Amino acid sequence: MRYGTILLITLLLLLGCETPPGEKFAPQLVLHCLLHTGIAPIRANVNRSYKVDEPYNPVFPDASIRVWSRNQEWQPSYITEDLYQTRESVPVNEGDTFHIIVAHPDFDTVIGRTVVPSGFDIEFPHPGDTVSINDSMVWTRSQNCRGYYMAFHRIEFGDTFYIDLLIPNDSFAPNYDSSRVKLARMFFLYLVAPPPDSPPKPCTLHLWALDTNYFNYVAAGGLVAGGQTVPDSTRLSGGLGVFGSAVERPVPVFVRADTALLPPRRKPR
Amino acid sequence: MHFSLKLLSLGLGLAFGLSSGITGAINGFVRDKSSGEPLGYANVELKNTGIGTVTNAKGYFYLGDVPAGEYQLEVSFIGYENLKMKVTVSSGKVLTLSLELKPEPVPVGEVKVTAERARFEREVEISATRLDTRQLVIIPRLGGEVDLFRTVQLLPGVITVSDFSNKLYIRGGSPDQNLILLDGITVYNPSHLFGIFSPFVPEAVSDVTLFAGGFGAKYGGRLSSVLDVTTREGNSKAYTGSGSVSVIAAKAIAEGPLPYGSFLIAGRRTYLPDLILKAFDVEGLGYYFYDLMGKVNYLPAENYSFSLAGLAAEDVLSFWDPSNPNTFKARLPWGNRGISLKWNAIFTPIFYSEMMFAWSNFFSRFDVDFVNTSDITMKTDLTSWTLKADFTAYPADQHTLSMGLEAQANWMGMNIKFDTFNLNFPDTLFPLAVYLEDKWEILPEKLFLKPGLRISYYSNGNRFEPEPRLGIKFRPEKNTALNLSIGRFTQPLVTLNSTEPILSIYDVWVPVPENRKTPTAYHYIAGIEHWLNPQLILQLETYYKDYDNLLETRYGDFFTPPESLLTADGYSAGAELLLRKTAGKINGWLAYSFMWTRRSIQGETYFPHYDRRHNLNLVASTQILPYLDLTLRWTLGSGLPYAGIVGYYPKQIEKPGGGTEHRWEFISGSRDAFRYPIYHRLDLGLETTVPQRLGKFELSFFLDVINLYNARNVLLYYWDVSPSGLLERHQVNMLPILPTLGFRAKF
Repeated sequence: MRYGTILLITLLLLLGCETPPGEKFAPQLVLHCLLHTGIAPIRANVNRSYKVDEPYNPVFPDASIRVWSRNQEWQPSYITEDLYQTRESVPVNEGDTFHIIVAHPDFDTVIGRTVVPSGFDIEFPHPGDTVSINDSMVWTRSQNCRGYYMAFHRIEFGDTFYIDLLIPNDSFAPNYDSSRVKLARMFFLYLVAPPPDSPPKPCTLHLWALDTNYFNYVAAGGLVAGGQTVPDSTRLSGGLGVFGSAVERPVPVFVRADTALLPPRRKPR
Repeated sequence: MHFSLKLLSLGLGLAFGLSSGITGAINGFVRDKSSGEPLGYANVELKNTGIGTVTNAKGYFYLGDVPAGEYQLEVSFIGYENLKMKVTVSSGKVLTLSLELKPEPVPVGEVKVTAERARFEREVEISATRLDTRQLVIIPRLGGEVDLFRTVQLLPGVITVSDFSNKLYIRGGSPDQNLILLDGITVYNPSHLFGIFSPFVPEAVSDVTLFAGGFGAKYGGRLSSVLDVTTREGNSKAYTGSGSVSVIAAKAIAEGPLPYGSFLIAGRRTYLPDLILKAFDVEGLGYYFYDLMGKVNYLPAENYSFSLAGLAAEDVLSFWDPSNPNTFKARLPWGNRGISLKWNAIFTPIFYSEMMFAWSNFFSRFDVDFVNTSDITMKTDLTSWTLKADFTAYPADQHTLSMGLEAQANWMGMNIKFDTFNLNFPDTLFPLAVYLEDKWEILPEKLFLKPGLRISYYSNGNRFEPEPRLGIKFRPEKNTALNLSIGRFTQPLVTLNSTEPILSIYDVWVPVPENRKTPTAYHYIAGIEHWLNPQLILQLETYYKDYDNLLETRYGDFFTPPESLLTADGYSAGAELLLRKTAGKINGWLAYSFMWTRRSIQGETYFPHYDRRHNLNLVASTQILPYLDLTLRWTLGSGLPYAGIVGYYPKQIEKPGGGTEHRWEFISGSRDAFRYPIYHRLDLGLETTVPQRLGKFELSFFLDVINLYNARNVLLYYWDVSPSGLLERHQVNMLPILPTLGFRAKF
């Protein structure tokens, strides 16, 4: 019995000795390129992924990039570190489809495509309005964007406060309106609202409509409204990163202290 | 109902035992003489006849088919003096006895027939381990708090993934595959302080039985295991109480007699988290938890008893704007509540019944109060109503028939409210089950067969699930038993949150979606139990558990919506060795588990993050000086899998208003393909009881040291890129050396 037990334990120990499976890792190209509506040079950052024991190198000069839309083609050239840029300004219009190819002799070629979201208008607040967290924010819906990204810029401090608020452009809300999006309260202004009895502070709200690629890229690992994580699916083949597009609408406002102006509301308990 | 049951039991009696006219029977209860509490699993035997049995959980026993004559009846239970008495059994009659055992300290070296031995000789319960109050409280305490789950984690086949988690991973099953019962109340989220403690006051617990696999047809609805916790009934002879103060919490228990019954009430409330936050000048954050357990027993007659048990356990986390508390407040309470009402009745000596009605609720709230504007409120709720009837019939000496039914109604849901925004995700589940099981003693004290069948109906998808079970016990010689068990197990509800995060607040349960197959497990268990001597028991068990249609969260998700849950298959296999010393100068156990767990999802096969290949636990307790007890616990475990990093790259995100945010993105290898280093930890506990009473009070002081030699066990790794551009791995350790002091007063 005793010897049998010892033998069994030895056998189990031997069975349990295992080496972790080897992990193969092939570095890939990493692209970051976001197109904005308007006319401006196209900028792209191209680098690569690294093995755990390889040091990061910010300089990456040997990539060749082609961007095209309809019958026009542009070739961003190397500027510095891992930055590439077209010499000419490129017109990026709502609804346009852009393609990109990034090649490098040591890596797989990266191919991407983006459809520029259609435009939208912020209906409220208007430029120069004084607002508080009790106010709604309303904008017309960009019909082909994946979602919206919001931030605000505090003029007084000269900084931009990123609230990382991603709002999917879908109909999960019960009061869904196909033509506009309404944020019932700008609760995030709580973060920058001045103290009671202080004058309103100037602030710029920035709202971006993002295509699917960029929305998923920003949302990867984070949470979007509704509590669902978004897979890092930027629809880029052969490499990592993103090739996306966005339409931005800024609106300068003044933010007031809501408690100084509103009587406390009775709330049911 | 009552009349029908009597007729049924009378019929059974006539059909089997008492109709012969040449035999009689003995039945009755065994209780503690000092407190009146029932003694479950006590050994009752007629000396030199081979006739004997063990009491059930309520202390009831029945000895049938006893030839008429005079006998020496002996009742034994560890920690109590043996009771010996002469009894006379008459033909065709039942002798009813009410037996009381006198407690005694266990004298060193004395040979006693323990409850363990009685179960070994007469029960067919494979993979079952029972711990009583004394065993539960001997483990060194974390922060001065005994925790029931942390003791259970030291049993074979059970592992935990960190010092901060009380989740039970049993034989390769995830925590949501365990059925946790407190007096019949299903406890869905048995954790406090983000998983560090469980919501039970151990001193109020009578016993805990862990069925690590192959559990009987009486239990269902889970794939892996059952943890059945029973609250003490309270002292029916005298008013007693105790209170203790530890670093983390204060605790009190009171118990005493009632007219025709007894009561027990126990409560615990933390204060340490609040103190720590204040000590470190953390403003705008508050936390505490409390537990309240109670039981009231009413015994109007020997054959009838009622018990009402309850649990209320809650965590409350709150935060506010310290500079202006009137503008923003948030409160996050969550907890378990439950009540069960049991009616135990002996309609005839051969027919024992227990009927139970239970209500269980898990709730969470997240209230964000903006004072002058609309609040944001998120609520989750899981409410269960259970009606259960268990009957045990002793139709003949060779057979013990168990049967019963269980009906449950579950309502669960989530609600999110903000301004006009009001989202509801309601769900319901109505399981219904009937079961029948027979313990058949084919050869007296040698060969037992326990076939059973449970038929479950689950309303989600109208599923009928037959769950056959079979247990076999063969004792080739007096001190050795061979056990075998096979069975099918199904589960109608799953959790949506991943078990991978280090700290988790609570689990979100939902019914298995209608378009998915029922998660199913098949258990195949074989074991041998050998008594090396009356104090030393060796158990060896091997098992294979085959899983089908498991629903797993997506890798990397904290929370996966029901429609996105992934279907997984897999298996667990392993062997366990348990060496227990139940008496003598040193008590304790050595538990070694070898486990191998695999899961397959969409063609990817991996070892889940709780696949610990080797796990060794040593628990020893002894009295080193008069009035000074020492307890040691040492754990050694092989490394757990984790998602290692194989590469990295720079990730840039353009920001509105200009500028780019730079982050490092890390590329993980195959799922859980890497392993942490081995885990090891030694804990020590010292407790002294002051010999002289202080008035009515008996005082005890205790010192516990967790991680005595300050082992640096890895909790997690995280990665960063240094300014020189090299990837660096950082390590976060589990608990360092942690001494705690406390005292207890008992009256």
